Amino acid sequence: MTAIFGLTVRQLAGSRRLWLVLGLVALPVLAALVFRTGESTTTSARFADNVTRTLIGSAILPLVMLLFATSAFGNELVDRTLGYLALKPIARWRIVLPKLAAAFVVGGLPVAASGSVAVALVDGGALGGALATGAGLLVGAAAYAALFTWAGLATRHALLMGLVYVFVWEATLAAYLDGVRFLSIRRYTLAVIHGLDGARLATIDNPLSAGVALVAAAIVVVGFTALTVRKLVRMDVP
Amino acid sequence: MSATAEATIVVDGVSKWFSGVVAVSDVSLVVEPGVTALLGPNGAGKTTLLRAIGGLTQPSQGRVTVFGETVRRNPGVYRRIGYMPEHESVYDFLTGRGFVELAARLQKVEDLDGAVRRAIETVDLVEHQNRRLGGYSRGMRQRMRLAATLVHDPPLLVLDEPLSGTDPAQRLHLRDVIRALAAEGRTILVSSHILEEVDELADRIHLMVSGKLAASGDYRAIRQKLDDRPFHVRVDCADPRALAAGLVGLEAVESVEIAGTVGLRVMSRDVSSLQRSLPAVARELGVRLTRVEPLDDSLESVFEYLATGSGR
Repeated sequence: MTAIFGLTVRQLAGSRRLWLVLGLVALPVLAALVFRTGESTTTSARFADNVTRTLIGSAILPLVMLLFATSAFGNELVDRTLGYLALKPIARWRIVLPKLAAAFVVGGLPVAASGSVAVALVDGGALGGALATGAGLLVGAAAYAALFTWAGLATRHALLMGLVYVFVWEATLAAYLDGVRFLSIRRYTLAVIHGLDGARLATIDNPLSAGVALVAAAIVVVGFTALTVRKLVRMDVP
Repeated sequence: MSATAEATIVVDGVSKWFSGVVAVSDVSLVVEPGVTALLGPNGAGKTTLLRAIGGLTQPSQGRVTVFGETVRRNPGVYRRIGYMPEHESVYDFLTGRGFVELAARLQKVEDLDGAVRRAIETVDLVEHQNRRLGGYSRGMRQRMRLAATLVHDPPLLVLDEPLSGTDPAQRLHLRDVIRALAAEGRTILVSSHILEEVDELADRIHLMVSGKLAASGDYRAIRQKLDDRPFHVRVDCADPRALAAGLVGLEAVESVEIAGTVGLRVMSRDVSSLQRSLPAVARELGVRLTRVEPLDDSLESVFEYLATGSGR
């Protein structure tokens, strides 16, 4: 599995989209530096929550994971190199797992690191909030990776589908419909952060406990990974 | 159909259709050790059939077995199969050696370095192995893809258009490589749309046209069928009626039709005899020829004739 993991990391990290992603990932840290060096009327806790909730949780994390995870298989479907993996004596789950892990590592780790550093800078170096933010973002990254990796294999319109999910479902519908909140990876992410550090994101209306959010995120990861394996087993490889 | 005891691949009544378009229609064949060519024009269904054999696509109907096993949803069988797809895309960011190494790792080859070295030596690309694939010529990419296909020393090689994109020297080299691999007892199935390409390469040819198996046999048998087919020639001249009267008595001419005011459509089964006789008859009758053009010399028309028994 390490060969496919290494191959996918090189595919994802070697592309031009990496520069776009690095730019996105740098934004929270830049915002934190501006906050620390400038005058502000808001408290550091509120600023850290806003950065986490609106900048990272609502935009950067889902967008970065969308770009990388849909490409984990999407690139190989477009350039028709998937056959080089599918024609090997490897169980299909052994192809899916390293690709998922690569998307998580290339997309999720930088976002989690960025979020942690930004919160630490805003909090004046306090580690509690930073670690909780990093952990929550990693949970969200894993769930997004599973969802969008499946989408990249299942449909040619994965990017569009992902954008609709992020900006229509999570950002709009989940804000008004209680039931939809239970089907929002963004909500799981924020709930885990709040669960690990009660001082973080205390002001947002989040009906999920950290435990429920973790279980829901695990269900998303396992469920969409299983769907991806099933799709790879049944599909015609281009 | 009954498979022989030696058959490596058995294709039994395989059809494949996509949204109502039939790509392969009820094809049955067996492939035994040695080199077998799947010949046919572009769009004949060769690649679709190879993909069904390789397990990349599920036949809509019928069954494929390789070494007695189904390939689809049975990845373990790929230890014994080397499959080179038609499209030439590769991981451009890898070096040639890296690409072959990747294939060897995925095949869990034991002596990885030795196997990679031998495979690259076989396709004669040792000098270029550390260059990135993105900088390779089309022919070099084909050869490195072949190295990756045979790195695990499989007893069956399925090569979709392996000579495509190669220059004449590379083509000869690859032909020798494929023959040598077959001489070691392997089963090799290659596809091509060029009859002459499979001459001296394949022991047996299966001819596909419009998704159907049109003919099977060795090169000589296929060639004989080609030579036996009627040729249509368009002849433009000053006096087509006079020339038609003169040609109709020739042994080489099967029929003559007057096509318009200046043209004839001549059908012949002995085109070389017609080539010799036509100028002589025209000269004798004092008819000036303005145009002589074969009407059905394209490969597609040859394949169509072999498939249906009638050319265009």
